[in-house]
Amino acid sequence: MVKAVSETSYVLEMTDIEKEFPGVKALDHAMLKLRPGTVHALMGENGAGKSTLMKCLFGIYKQDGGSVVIDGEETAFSGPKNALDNGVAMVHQELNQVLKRSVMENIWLGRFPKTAGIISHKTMYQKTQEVFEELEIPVNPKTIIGKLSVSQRQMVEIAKAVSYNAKILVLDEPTSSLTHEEVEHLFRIINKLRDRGVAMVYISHKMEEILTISDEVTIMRDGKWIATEDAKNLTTDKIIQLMVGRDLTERFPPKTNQPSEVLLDVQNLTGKYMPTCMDVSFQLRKGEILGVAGLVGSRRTELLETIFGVAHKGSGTMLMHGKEISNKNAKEAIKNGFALLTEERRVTGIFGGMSIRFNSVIANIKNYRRGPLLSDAKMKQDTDWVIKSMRVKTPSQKTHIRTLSGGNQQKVILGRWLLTKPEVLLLDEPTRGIDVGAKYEIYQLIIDLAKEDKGVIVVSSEMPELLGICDRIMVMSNGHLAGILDIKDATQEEIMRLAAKYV
Amino acid sequence: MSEEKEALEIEQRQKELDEREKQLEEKENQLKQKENKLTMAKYNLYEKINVSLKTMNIVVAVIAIALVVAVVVGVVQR
Amino acid sequence: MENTKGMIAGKTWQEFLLDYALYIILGIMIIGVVVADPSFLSMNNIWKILAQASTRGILALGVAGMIVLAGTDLSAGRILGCGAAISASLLQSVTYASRMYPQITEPLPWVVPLLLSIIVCVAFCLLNGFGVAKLHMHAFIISLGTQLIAYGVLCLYIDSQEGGAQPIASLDPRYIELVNGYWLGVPHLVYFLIICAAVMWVIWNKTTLGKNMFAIGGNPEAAAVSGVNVAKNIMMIYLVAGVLYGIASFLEAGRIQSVTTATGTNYDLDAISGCVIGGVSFSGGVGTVPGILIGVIILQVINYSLYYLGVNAYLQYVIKGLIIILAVAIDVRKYIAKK
Repeated sequence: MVKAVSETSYVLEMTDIEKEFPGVKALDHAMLKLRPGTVHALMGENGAGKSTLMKCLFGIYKQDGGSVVIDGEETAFSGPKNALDNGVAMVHQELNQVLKRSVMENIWLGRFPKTAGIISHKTMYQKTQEVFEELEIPVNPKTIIGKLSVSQRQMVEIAKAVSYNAKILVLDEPTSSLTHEEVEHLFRIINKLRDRGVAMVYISHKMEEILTISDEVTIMRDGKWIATEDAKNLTTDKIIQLMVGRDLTERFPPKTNQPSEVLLDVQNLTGKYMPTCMDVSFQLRKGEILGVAGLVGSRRTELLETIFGVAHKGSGTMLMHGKEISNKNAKEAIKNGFALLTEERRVTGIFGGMSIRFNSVIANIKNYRRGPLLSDAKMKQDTDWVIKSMRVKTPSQKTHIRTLSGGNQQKVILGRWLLTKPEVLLLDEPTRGIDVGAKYEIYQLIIDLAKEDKGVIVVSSEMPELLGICDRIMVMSNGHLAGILDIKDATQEEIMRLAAKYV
Repeated sequence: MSEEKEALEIEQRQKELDEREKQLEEKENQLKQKENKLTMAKYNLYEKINVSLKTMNIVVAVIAIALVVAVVVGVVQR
Repeated sequence: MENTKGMIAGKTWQEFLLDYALYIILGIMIIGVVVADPSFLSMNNIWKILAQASTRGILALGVAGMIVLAGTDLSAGRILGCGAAISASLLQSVTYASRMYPQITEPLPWVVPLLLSIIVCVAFCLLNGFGVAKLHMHAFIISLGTQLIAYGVLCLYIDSQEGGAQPIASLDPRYIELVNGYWLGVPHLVYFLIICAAVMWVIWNKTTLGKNMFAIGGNPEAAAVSGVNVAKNIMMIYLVAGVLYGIASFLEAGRIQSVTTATGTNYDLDAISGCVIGGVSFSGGVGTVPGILIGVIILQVINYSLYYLGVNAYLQYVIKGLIIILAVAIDVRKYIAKK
């Protein structure tokens, strides 16, 4: 339901916004103009400046230059609560709610309705019900919010903004955890808000959704405003082109690796503690990229963890170069030439508070011993290599890894493993949460690794990705191996069919 | 005559496949939800306690037994 | 896919045992005592237990606020000692020759020592609160420091008596009656506890301060983003706790009728145990007033039973220590099991 964009005046005008951090120009003449009663998508790669721009709007950052004009008046909010009181609200991707309290308490936190100093639960309930009924949200205000699903919690967050009479609502990646139906429900609410005259900024990476729901699209790149177009004049390819700044005719690099002899032979591998992989057998060849596809819950991560030894093996054998090996723990696995890139790098990958150098050398730390101490020179040298060969964008080795973008963090972790000179690389969702441009770079790195005769196993939930870079794809289903497809026989339908085999 | 029949069969087949795909998508979505809940919980707890449930069970059991022993000893030996 | 055979309340019997291990053990202990000696259940005994529980209950109501804020307070006991010393010293019998303040020849109205006790306790609590709210120190650490300071102050105060350090005793009989008397067959102390509990219930459930407390304990960022002044609210909670400590110490001095430097030792551990047994979780943002009362009373019953059964005094320490560790371990396990 895309409205024709009328000539009404802007409710929000951010012009020539400048913001600099030490070493990095985050916003460079950035611009965003929002009309009331429209959905305006804000797109750009990670690091393009979208969240920095929003933080300037909400007063979390103070911009170095440029102006923020709301309803014709120049404004500078002192913080999110100040913005909220003035009708500018944000629904964050990671919902900030007090999970142990009820829905209505969360909504009215900071402004509880009182009669004579005592909180009136009845009024709270009524006012909450009013908003819920208007937006058709089927949630009981008395429920403990931690018990709701993510989509319901999100709707509560939107209701909260509406209860503040928000005229500008920013939605940050609202659909990343929603099912198809929940997305439709969300869109119905967005349409209602649009009819009410609320102006919405919709930040997302999902092209099809954006083209469905938005009226206008603004694209940013490297902190700059690139373009603003009516949604009806755009296509997915055009958007990607504007976002990345180059003709992305090829999404994947050319496959120049050549699989040769068998490197790793896994036979009847079963994990020890259910739920885990069961009776999985396959072979990995030198120079081969073997993909692992499957639905959520098919135990692909458990398979990698069992191979690497961080999950206990129940039964089965593994042969490397024909010789039997056993990875009883990570240390042994690394010695045997294995490397594991985990699924959740924020949780089990990076040492967030530490420098890039620490994060690079940590897996290989034994090799830097000179006597009783560690050799700084060697560690510096190896970190330099990681930064150069992985093409990590960073001002220095000493930068905290947490400040890097997701893609760059992933590259450092990959580099970390390469320093241990592995022969088999186990990559679990290596491009999750990484923008389009950086994905290409990671695909190139994976193919380069295969070219060096290493064996790479890639677990991914993005089928086009597997179809784009793998030589063979094995499909897991509910812990079992459903089948192995050669790339020339592999199609999305075939993979789906196998993925559902044991479900 | 058989051409028509074939065309009908193909149409039916196509419909079945479409339905199957929808079902699978739904299933995937549901599983995705569950995993989401898991990862979110992991993120919060990770910051507080890094112990597995199994270990905790053993800890609680041991302390409970120690308590019972202490009380029994206290009552018996006075 | 899950095996639902033989589950109680949606859990396997092992999980059930572990979750309720504490209540099961304590329940068995209490039943054991009653069976061994049915006279344990006399009205007399019950009132005695409740009276003993009352001052600890009021203390627990104060400490609970800190635990809900995801902190703790290890200084509560010593602070109570200070408050008790002040209350007692100002309410000694005017005929007692070696009383602390010989210049007092007419008994003071009891509100005066009560207010002074409250002021002193509030001062210590605000010290803790400042450390937590403004300096972002962990409540555990700052209260550890305050505990020592309070102990030092208590000792100095008791030492400052004319005849050197001696127990502050021989209290004004009307004070003793005020605290230990009975009305309608029920000890005054029980009424005081109920009044404090009722007021705290209102604060926790019906005022902005209470809601803010739960919000800050549950998710301080969400609270801040919603415009709650986190620092101010934390200080207020500590202030309220200070008032409760003041009341509890005033009553405790009248109850034990002799205040020494050892008064208040480990009272905080009893208060914390009572809270945890009563469902106030260390992870913050969770707790109810009735739960606290139940927890404190259960603990008091256990204390009394152990004493009644003649269990070795030192072993009692071991047992109480195990109870508190068990309570916290079960709490921790509950939050891990929430996955």
